[in-house]
Amino acid sequence: MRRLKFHYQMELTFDRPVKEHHFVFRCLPMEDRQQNCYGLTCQIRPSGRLFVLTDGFGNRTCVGEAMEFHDSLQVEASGTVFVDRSRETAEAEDAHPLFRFASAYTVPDEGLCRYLEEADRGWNREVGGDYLMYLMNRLYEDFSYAPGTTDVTTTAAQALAGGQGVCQDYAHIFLAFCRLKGYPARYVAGMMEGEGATHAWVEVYTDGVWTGFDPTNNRLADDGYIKLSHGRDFGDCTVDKGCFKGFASQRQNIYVKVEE
Amino acid sequence: MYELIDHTENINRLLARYGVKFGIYKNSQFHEQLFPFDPLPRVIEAEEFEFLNRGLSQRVQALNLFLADIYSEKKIIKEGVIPADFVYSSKGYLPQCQGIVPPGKIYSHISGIDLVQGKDENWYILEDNLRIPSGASYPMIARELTRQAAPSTFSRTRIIDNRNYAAMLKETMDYVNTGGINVVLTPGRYNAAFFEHSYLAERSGAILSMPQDLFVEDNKLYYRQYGGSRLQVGAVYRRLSDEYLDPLCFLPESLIGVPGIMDVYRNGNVALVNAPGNGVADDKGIYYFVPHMIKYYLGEEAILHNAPTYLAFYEEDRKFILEHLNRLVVKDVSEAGGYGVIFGSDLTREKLEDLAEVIKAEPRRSLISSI
Repeated sequence: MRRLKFHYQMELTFDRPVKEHHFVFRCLPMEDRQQNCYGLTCQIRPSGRLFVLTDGFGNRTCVGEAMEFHDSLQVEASGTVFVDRSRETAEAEDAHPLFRFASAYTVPDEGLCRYLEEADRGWNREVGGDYLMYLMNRLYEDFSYAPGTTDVTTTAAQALAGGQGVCQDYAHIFLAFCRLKGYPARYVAGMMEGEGATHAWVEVYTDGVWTGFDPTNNRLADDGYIKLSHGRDFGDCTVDKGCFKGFASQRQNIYVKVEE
Repeated sequence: MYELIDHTENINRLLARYGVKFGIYKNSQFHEQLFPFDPLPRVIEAEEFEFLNRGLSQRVQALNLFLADIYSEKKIIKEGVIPADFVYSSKGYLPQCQGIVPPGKIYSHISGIDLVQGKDENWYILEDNLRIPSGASYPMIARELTRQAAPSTFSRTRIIDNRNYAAMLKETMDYVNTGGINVVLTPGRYNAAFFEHSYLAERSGAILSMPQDLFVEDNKLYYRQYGGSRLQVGAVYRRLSDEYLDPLCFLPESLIGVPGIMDVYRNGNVALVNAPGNGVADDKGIYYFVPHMIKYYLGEEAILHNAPTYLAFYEEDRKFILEHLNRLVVKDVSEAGGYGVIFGSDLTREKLEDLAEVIKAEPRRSLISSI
């Protein structure tokens, strides 16, 4: 078990003022048997009331709005999380059957199915080991990390065809694989120890437990990972979501820090 | 009744004048047409009406219990009455609605259940429409006009009055209202049922509002009045489909939604009529299981029966379907309102073979009935 402090900061700046800006943030860690949270805070500027609710997947959401004209919006969240990935999750939550089905971002195409078939041919049962670890390793070897090559609308099939992407794409592809293979699997948005941005990985339900696979780093999620939310894919776990009225282009800056 | 036939033309003219129209989208073009009035009524005798009333109430009650179960504990799946696949692969199942308890615990306030009378004189349920069914306004206004055209028909014959529909709608909205005004939310002028939206709003005393008239602040829903003042909204009879309702919760590209309305609803600060997520219960694949639902939740036998129906999902049924395809009606389980319906008898041999392939490839998608 580890005790981690996190700090999440996001700033949106607009080149022209906007108004009636409604938003949903999933930037506070979720509470489950593996994660206990203390001293969670979330604040916005321009200041306003935030409501902390729980969505259909059990994720914490902070919802609010900035109705008056503004040219920037800042969100700051922080808190302490006790993480213990050795604790079993199964007792508290069964695998939601929904996680067995392809979702909007993970619908497989021919290319993806072919890739998986080829991977299967390369899987040597006799050598043994874990099939999912093998699959993750293979994806890690074949796919390259290249920010800016994909965007928030890229699907698993598109990303795999392009051969490069970011953590979100790694996660979507791995999700598509798992679901094709009949494993219930869910998308996880979260943060990792160190400094940087938010992260995404995959949880797979096998033998009655959820295990976190991080294909971007080719490793299992351990106590250095903080889960913000889980869902079918990125669409359910978007950390910052909002809409506003105004004719403006926006820039987003995110800063995340997780430390002991 | 003969007076009614004589007045057909007058009544149709009045309907045109009132703009009693219904729109259809075909090849992505919007066609609007007048609702044609037929002076010859279908007479349902009081005893039979009472029977239908009991059957439909039973069905709607079971469907409401099903929705409450599906968005909470899902006992009916755990106990194996309905296969999980049918629920979770249904387009109408919205995980965003998991855990929401709607005000008054009512999911389907207004249910449009299609009935058909078979050649054997028995009534059958064709389909359930629990999302945003249209239709109540047309018989209301037709009855109003026929009363004007042929008053004696109504004084001589004992007819159950339908003029209380608006009052019942108001009562329903008031019952679930969480504090504030009632509004009818319409996507706008180019919706198929805009006439109905405006008519029902006027008759039930609710405010007809466009999406831009509503906004969320401090987890409450407000109606924007002229001059900038606002009124809190307690119940929304929304005629906007689930996926467009809230861009922050469903389709982010929706421009006709009210951002944040789902979170207000989740917190119990507004009632949505009908509840989002109802599509899972009127899914044509789930239709097959409604009699099982009635038994499971109410411990009763279904008073009204489904039309004889086969599910390609079950092997035995699939065999029957593929053998008799030219005599059957095939429905796409996720469509509604007459879309996605194929009559086997209309198809050429080639088309029939293509259809058989689709059914084999996607057995979950098709529901086949013999009417």
